[in-house]
Amino acid sequence: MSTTLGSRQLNRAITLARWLIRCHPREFRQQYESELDQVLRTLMRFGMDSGKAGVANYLWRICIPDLCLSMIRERFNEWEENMKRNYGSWIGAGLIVLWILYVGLSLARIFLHLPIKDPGNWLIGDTPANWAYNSLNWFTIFGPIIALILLAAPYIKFSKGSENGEMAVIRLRNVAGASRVLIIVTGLISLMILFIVLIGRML
Amino acid sequence: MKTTSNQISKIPMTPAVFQILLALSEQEMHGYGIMKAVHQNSNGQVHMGPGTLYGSIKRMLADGLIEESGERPDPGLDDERRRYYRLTDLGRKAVSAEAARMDILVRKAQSLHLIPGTGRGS
Repeated sequence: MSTTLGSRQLNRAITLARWLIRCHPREFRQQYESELDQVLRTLMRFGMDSGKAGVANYLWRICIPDLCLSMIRERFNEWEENMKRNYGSWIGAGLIVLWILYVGLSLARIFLHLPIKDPGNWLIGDTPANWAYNSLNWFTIFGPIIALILLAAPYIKFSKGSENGEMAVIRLRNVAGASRVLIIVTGLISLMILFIVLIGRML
Repeated sequence: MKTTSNQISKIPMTPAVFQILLALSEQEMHGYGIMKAVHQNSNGQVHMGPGTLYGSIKRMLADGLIEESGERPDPGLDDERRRYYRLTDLGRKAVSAEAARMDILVRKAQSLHLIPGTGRGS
């Protein structure tokens, strides 16, 4: 009975430990997943002196809490590294989110008659100074374009197009996930603004 | 031993890093070997978990305190996927500087009769 209980506890602990290892950041897993897995297998092989219940006890008391903590620590480190490496992207993302909020609220107020204060007035006051008024206009027109540059910059790669280096080619490296969505949305907004500005000039 | 600025930046080090460096001072080891050595060196008081171990190894490799060893003590008896680690010169100097720092603290504790079981503690 106790052996069955020990086996069940051990299997659960191993499953949970492997799942926790898979929850670590990809870069960490690429480097150490097979080694961590091997440590678990070695623990099972050599820890059997203390019996299955002993190994399960070790896994539940030491190994699993430790893997939980290391997962949090490695995730935080990864986030911190990304922030340091891609702070321009974060500023770009913040800029486009602010722009969408500002324009969205302004449009909602005008077309949906939402009972909210004009976001422009809220930002720069009812009787704004010239510089504040110009800055807001500047932000409305150029905000998304600057955001697009900041968001796409980490993925732009300059490379020589030919063996002789006659041509310089700009390549967009593979962009995935939320970054891709953000870049596409920002690009579309930028194109729309350019289109509106051009039409405005022509009329 | 003269302490360089590069070593000073590594001390004081975390207990996990010190324990790993201490274990590797004896010989090069793989991850599980380090875990066992840490347990033995601490008289069974410290159980280093695998997450702490490999997280520390990752940072120590980046800091140049340890390096991967290409040689395998006994390739015939060992799983070839296992990686062995060994101290670098910087790692050896850093663990030595940390041990010296701790020695000063232990001497101070001794002088204050704070270490039990040595005839000088309470």
